[in-house]
Amino acid sequence: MGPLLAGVLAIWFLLTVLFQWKNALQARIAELDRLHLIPQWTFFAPNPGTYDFRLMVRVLDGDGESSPWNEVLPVAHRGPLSGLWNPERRINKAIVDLTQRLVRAHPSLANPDAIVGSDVQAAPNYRRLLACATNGHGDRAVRFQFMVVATTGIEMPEDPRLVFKSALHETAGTDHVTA
Amino acid sequence: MSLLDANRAAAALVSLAVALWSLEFLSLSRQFEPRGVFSSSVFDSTRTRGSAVRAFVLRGVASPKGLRLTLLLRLAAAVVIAFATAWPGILSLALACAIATGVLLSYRCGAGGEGADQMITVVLGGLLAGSLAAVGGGSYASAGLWFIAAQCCLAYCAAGIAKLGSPLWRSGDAVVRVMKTASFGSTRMWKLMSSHPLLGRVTCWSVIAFECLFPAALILPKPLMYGLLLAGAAFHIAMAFVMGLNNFVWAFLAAYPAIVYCNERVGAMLGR
Repeated sequence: MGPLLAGVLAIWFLLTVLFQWKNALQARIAELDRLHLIPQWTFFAPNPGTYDFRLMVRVLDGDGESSPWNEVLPVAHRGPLSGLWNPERRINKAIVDLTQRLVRAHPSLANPDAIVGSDVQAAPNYRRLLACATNGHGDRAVRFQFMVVATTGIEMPEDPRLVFKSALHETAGTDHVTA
Repeated sequence: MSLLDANRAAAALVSLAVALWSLEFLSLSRQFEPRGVFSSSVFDSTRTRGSAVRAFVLRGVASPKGLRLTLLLRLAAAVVIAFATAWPGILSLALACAIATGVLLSYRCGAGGEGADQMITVVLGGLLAGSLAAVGGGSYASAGLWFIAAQCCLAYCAAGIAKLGSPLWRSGDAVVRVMKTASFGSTRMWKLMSSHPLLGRVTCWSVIAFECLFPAALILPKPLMYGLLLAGAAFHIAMAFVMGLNNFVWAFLAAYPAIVYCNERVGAMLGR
């Protein structure tokens, strides 16, 4: 059994080496590695995350009046004990992951005037963000829209940059698109 | 450091990482509800296609009760890993359970993973291979530790080389700009680095140098190797308290006993 185990570990390591830098095999390994067992070790490089991704939602009432954009799942303030306990980082990271994958798969979303087609709305990453955006609507809300903006700054977010904006959705059933 | 001691130390540290992982996800249970960022409604419709067994397992972990049970099972496996190193059979089961639940839960979440999760899987995988080899008679029992050590060196080195190729890191701006984000930054550190640009450059180049040079830990004389590992521990603890990357501490320190073990074997080969 020993040689077999050693062989498995050697293959695992070799695939990890091949997976670190852009090459013909990298995409193939990513495609086959459904369980994400092959690590990508290039943390915060070459381009570290220098923006916060913020999920913003606005609601429209029956008269078409729009609320201001409000942040959903805001980046949690980190206290002195965050070095020991910090589960909220997973929420921020998930919003970044979902947004980046969505925009990578649908580059047309980078255009602020893009029409969000049914293919985008059917994407699991879009639907996850949509699910989060259904939180906290008031009683008078009829429709809502969400967007992700990238900001810098800790206490006072600044330099907001639109990453993408959703279609308008009915508040009653999030799957029904009206625009 | 003996093979058993290295395995024990790695198992104790990785069990802390697995326990913290499980407890943090248990505390995020609201995010697994239909309006959460790990919503199961999306998961149900998009991820449970395929064989009946696969669909059964994935539907089970998609339900709130199944998810909680899986997280508790992973937590229990962490406790067993910490205390069962003398019993390779039980240890193998607990390690396999921790790997399987980790893979399943990461698949279930679909987003929000981090590098620490990858290192946890690597350490668990190496320890599992070692304990299975012990069950099977003991040949190649150290292969798992060599694997963990090699992955740990690759992890730092690949990260260092990628940073070296980035103008943002070479200029010293990378750390300053990361410090200006709410997700990973710190107002105090950002103000300090903005007013002292040299500090940003020194920090960036220190990280690049440390990461690129880390593989030398395998061949350095013991005092220098311990110095490098202490620098690594300080680096991860600083990242935990400044950037909130708390589980990198336990995940990466779990690989260090393998570095010590392999350094001693390399030293013996070199006649030190």
